[in-house]
Amino acid sequence: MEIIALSGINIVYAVASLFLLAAGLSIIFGMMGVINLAHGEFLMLGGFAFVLSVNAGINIWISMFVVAPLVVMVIGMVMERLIVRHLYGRTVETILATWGVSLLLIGVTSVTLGYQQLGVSAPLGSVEIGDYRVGGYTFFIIGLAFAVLAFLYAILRWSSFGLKARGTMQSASTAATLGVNVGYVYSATFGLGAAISGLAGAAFAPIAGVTPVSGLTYIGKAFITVIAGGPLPLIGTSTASLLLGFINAAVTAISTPVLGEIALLAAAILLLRLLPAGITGRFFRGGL
Amino acid sequence: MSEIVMQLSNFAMARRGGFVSFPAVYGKEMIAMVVNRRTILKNAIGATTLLSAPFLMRTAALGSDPIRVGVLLDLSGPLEVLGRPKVNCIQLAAETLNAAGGVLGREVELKIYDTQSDNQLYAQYAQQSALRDRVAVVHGGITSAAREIVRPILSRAQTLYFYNMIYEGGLCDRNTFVTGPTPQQLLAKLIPYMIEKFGPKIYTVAADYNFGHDSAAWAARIAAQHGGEIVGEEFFPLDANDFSATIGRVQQAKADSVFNIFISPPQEAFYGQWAAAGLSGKIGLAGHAFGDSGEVRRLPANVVEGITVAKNYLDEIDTPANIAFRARYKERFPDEAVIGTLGPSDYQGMMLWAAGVEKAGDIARETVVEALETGISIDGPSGAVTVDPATHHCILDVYLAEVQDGRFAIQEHWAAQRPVENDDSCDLTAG
Amino acid sequence: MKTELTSPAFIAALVIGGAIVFAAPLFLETYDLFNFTVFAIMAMLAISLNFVWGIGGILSLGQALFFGLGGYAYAITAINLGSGWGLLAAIAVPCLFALIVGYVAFYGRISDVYFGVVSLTISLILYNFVNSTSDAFYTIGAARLGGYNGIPSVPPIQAPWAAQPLGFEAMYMLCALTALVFYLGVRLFVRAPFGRVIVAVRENDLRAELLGYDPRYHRLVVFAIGAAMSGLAGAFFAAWGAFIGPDTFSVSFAAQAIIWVLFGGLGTLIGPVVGALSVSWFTTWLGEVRLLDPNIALGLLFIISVLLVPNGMVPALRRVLERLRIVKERADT
Repeated sequence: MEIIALSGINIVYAVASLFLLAAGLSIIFGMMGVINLAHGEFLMLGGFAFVLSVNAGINIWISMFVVAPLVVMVIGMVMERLIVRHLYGRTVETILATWGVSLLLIGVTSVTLGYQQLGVSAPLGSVEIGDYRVGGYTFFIIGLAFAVLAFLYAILRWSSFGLKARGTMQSASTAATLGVNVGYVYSATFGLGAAISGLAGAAFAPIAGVTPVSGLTYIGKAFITVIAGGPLPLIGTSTASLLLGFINAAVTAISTPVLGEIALLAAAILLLRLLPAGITGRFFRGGL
Repeated sequence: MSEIVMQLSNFAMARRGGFVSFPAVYGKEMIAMVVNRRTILKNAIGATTLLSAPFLMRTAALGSDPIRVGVLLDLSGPLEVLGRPKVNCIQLAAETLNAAGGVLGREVELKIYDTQSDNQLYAQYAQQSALRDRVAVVHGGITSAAREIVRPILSRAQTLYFYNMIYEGGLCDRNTFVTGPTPQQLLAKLIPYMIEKFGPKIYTVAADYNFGHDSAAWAARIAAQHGGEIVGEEFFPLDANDFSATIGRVQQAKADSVFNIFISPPQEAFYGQWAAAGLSGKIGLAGHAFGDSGEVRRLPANVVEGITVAKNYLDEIDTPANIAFRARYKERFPDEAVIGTLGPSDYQGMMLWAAGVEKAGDIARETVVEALETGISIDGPSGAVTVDPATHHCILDVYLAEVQDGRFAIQEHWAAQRPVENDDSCDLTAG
Repeated sequence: MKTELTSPAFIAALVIGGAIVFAAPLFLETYDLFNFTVFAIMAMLAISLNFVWGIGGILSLGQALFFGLGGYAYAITAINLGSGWGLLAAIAVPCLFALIVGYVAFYGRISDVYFGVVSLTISLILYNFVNSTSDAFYTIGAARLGGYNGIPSVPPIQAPWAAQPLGFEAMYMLCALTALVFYLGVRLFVRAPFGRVIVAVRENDLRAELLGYDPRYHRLVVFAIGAAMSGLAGAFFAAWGAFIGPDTFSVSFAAQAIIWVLFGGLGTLIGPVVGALSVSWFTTWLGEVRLLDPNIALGLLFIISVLLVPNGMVPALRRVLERLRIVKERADT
């Protein structure tokens, strides 16, 4: 019984972490059509911002919810202004330029921050389930995923920024004629996606540690989840996380983590053969 | 070189003794000046170059040609964290040798290549070191993959190779000397200690490559000999960072202790998640590669408290030799908080090689190998290090330690542990 | 076809390329030959990526995975059956794999950009899989896959009639000549009727389809040929260093191949070769002088290539030369 509860928690946790890792990327891809290959490095930078500010004596929750998202948001907006802005509509060039940014960020962090950062231990203690102990932080990650989903839904659905962003996503030229500052919307959307990535990076830093190449371990899963989810950022990414996270955790539970990872990626490719435009390319049209 | 210089040089050689006295150094500088002035005049560069004579004198102060030593280590990329202290220690060794009059009276000149955590570059730079730089010896290689790339290239080029790493064991190659410890040396102490302290049930989590697999196999064999039992064994990719399922399984298996054979960064992720699940202090924990790159200082104190290790070197060894070594390292590299457990093997590798060359009286590979095979021994920061002629590995001291209050507290010390026990499959001195 | 074979440009390329290949061993030391061999191998990979991406218009971001597959196929087969079979396997295995992946992708009409991400993901799957094969269970005949440590002691290439495997010089000749053949082959291909259809499909696949050409089939053929070329390069690489490891499936190696092609000039014929040679030489040099973190250098090169020299160095240089010529002509009149 307890072992079933434990497995259940692990599966929900896998789904939640997949969603958190992919959410920032999906906003930028879903709203702007930009495939940001520097996404992994956004997560990494969020982790570094968090770790450095905690070690500088700033409260752990302020570091996670304020410092890390703000830092990565600023970096993201600078990158949008300097590089991505010149390449809108040219998807392939954007992929390549952001790939270059990814290498650059890995190089710069290797030289400046290095591989020897101090770690931060996960807060919130542990919970006993019968004979077993589970980290309280596991439940925090699950809660955080739901909170991020709700926050993004609210902002895109009900705020005036969300309205403008959705309008720009449908037709940038129409939005511009209606008086929307398209450049500002792009910049803000990119910043929002970057901020969410920063938050996610910070959330995983206490349990996974952070090094300049941390991004590389997340990026494959994040990308395939977003691509499998299709064009709608929230519904797409959450359904894809649900499906792929379940497969990953279930296969890991009965075999090894490697096979779990391979099963996740293989399932995603199979899915794309059936639904070439992702889940929301076929279902849930017109949602978010 | 003219006859006068030859005579002077012989004179200096004759004066080089066990220790270097001031007149001896002075004598060599004299020669250097002669050599330099002659080459300068020959090259007809002119009088202006004479202004830089003090500089030339300094670099060429130790006799005619320097002896080149090739170093292939990763100074960028993910392996930088391991490569950096190793290069530091090699530099420290070279400077120590040169300050004491060089090797055979010749300056040791390092030719350091950054292999960028890229195996292809190991092949290219090994080739360059051997054929272009014509180095006397190559020190380096971190992963077993890198070693297996470098080894055949250097064998073919007849260039001596020193691999100064802890590794999975099993190497038997006349051209290669290993100065790091083998799993047998370390695990023969660590596993029985774990069984005695925590209980017989051990759960092994390991990185999924040769080092992990072979070390896990040794752990299982040694545990069986000491009445222990491996109740679970799992292998993870080198970049794994989610251990929630495994931490559940460890508890399910009711293990007394966990033996961790990861390398950083997954190692750190594991310890972090282990502590977050509230298992620190409840189930014993030992780390095979823990401490290799300053993890003790880096990770939060509550995470590392109580982790047990067996090593051939620790910063905390308090022998006079190591206290002096630590001070010199700190003086030379003031920004480094710790030395870590890996670098001193490189320092000792350099010193063993130098002792071999001195004994051989020559840098030719064959004579140096024979000199090293006499069972040459040096006193290093980790204690006495002796070449085992049959296996070309080293007889080393082993220390068992536990993290207490953010540093290693040494629990036990065994002197002169042999690299292999009850195994005569490798005898390089035969035939 | 006939006109291309006898065209002055083709003959010039043949003569100059041949001269460089054959003259190099006369001037270079062994260690330089050793490095130039690997540069020639990287040029082969760059040519094949350019063939698939620049000429075929397929966004094969993970093209380097075929290089890795070829290397592994060669290593495993050569250890078991000898180097001749190894080379055959190194061509056949990546080609077959590309046919399967290409069939699923092109006939499933996965969009171009998605295909790029999928090909990178396949790289990652292979990377994860090969990394997890260090157990003795993963042994094929006499060859252990070895996981993270890769396969050491890969046999060198040996001609069936020869008593000895190829030495440094012969190996250099083989790689350089193959690179030259690749280059000339691609040159001939784009001028041939099939090649013209490929270019038409790249420019506008709907129009090509309406003209009666099946873009799916044409893409598949290009993809499979490109994979075979990359695979052969991978085999030479494994034979060159007597080693093949999972790094060849890594994202950073895939990125390097992309940078070579972009930097030199995507879609041009000589550009990718120039890119591969200059960038490989540059990173090797960086490791020797230890001046700058290679990732910073590669990242900057990548960004600059996309933003400032979007067509690559070779066309940019050509334009500069052209402009200089015009200026000079004006000055003359």
